[in-house]
Amino acid sequence: MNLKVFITRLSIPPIFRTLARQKYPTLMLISQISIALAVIANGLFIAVDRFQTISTLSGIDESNSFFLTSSGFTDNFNIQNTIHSDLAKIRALPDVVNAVKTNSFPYSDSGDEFALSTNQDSLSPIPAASYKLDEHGIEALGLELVAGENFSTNEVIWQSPHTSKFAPHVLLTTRTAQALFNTDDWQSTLGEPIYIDNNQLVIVKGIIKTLHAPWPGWKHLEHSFITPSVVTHNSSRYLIRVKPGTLDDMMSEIESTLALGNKQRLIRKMKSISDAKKEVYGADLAALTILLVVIVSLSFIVGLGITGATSLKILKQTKQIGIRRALGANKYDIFRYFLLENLIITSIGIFTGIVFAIALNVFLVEQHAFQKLPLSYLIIAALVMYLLNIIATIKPILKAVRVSPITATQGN
Amino acid sequence: MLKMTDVKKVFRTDLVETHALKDFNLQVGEGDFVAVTGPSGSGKTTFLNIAGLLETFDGGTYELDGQDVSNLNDKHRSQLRNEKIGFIFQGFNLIPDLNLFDNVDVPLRYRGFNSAERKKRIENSLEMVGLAQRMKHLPSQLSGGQQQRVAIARALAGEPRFLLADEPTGNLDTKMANSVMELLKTINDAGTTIIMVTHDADLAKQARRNIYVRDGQVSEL
Repeated sequence: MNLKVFITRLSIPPIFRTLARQKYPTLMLISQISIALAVIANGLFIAVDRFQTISTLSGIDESNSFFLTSSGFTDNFNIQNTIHSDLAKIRALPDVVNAVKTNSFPYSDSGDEFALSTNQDSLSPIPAASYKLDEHGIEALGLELVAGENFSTNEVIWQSPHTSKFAPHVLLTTRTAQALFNTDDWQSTLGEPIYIDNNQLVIVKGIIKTLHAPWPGWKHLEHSFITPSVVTHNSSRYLIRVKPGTLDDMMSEIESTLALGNKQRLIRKMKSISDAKKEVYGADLAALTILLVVIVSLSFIVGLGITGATSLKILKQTKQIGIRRALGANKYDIFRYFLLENLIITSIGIFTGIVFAIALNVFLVEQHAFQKLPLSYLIIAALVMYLLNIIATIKPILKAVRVSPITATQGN
Repeated sequence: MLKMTDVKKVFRTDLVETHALKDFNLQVGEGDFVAVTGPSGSGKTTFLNIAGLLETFDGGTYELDGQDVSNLNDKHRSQLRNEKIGFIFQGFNLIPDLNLFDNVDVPLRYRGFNSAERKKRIENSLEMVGLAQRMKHLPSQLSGGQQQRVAIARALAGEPRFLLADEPTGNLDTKMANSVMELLKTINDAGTTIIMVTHDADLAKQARRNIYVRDGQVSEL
């Protein structure tokens, strides 16, 4: 069979004219497909975006770290001595990698934001979260130093919570350095002066690869810096990193060691970083799960709808199929006819669905500052709809193929 | 041209075995106009279905245009149906969502004719049945007689050697029935072989040859 004959036998123009006369069932199928495509494309985009946010690593050793708070409650509670003593005890434990007193950590949802700039009169400073850590901070958090040096012990200043003075050196994250100096050459940023809140001059001593700010979802999540200081507050938060596989044991051991070693304080709010992350992203995870369930359910329902509509159509057209067979259509002609008819409907549905998906995305962008829907999601959703359509229609179409030509003479 | 020898057709259910055709023998020559009559359930329609390659049979031989069609597969049977046989059904069997042009076009597309050839054949066949002016109408916009004329146009557009008609006037009033019968006679006069199953003895008399089917066997009248 040559191509021209093949195309003639496909009966494409009569299919279009038939569909135009079967307005309502055709429109119903097209609407189902286009709405499903719009929801699937945008839903997938939102789901992937959420998933990427949830699965992005903060830069610290999340699976082997935990934190606790030591809160003194007696009048003669010596904060500085307690911090020294606690950290020495913790660091001496064989399964501890390192520990640090910190003002904040990723996922804690509490911390301090400052404005960084390369000149004192900057009108567009870079917002960044500050972490106050001693020289053990890099190892305790599991950070990667990509340029420069760590702080030395004598650079670390001890200060009260009411002091706003910064030590003379800072470590910046790569993103912060990039935003400040507009370069990927981290070495060139070392020794450069920057201003904190346009008034305190500090010098860049090192660059760390990643350290997220404490506020998940913050627009400048990757902007942070470390200043070498220990804030003496009645409640001290320790972040402890242990060897892999020892987290649960070490959490209970360190809790009891600290609690028994000093009766003038309480050990509380102990939690692994993984659990803190789960709590922070709990609502997002639930929303993501619901969204995925909705996408899968919608696909299933649309698939069932297409199967039902196609089955009904073929049932109603049994006589017509018999007539076509009697007039010379073979089984392949019948298969191609219904497959093509469904592909035409699906294609129209996909085209209108793409328009609808873009309109929905424009609405989301304008009303909820959502991101622009990438073309790849439309293509994926379109392929899903084609695949869904073929899966949903193949069984009814094979039933149509089995209709005997004798049906044409039955029931006259 | 059409030769059936000892053709058998048995319909089986779990409980009953019905012999629809028993050693059915018939020979129809080129240009013949055969009317097939017989009581209900006698096997007339089964004969017509087998003759039109709509149905297979269980024994005997069937030659169509000198070709033994007993063991053809679906594809070849469909091709032979399309090229050599035209059907006229009692209920007209037009496709309701297609206009007259597209209805007549259905078998021509399966024949693989190009667009110009199909258009010429459709216009000529609709012209012959007097409905060329209404080719954009839907079947539902026509009377029963007109619909049967469209069905005849569809059957003839491919210029088949055989025209098989199953009660072609069964759903028409007398006036319409006579008009359709006249059309069939004209077609036969032009050389097309016609086999017509009918209950109507008056119509049967207008054929060149009458056969009677009873209990799955044929007898000449």
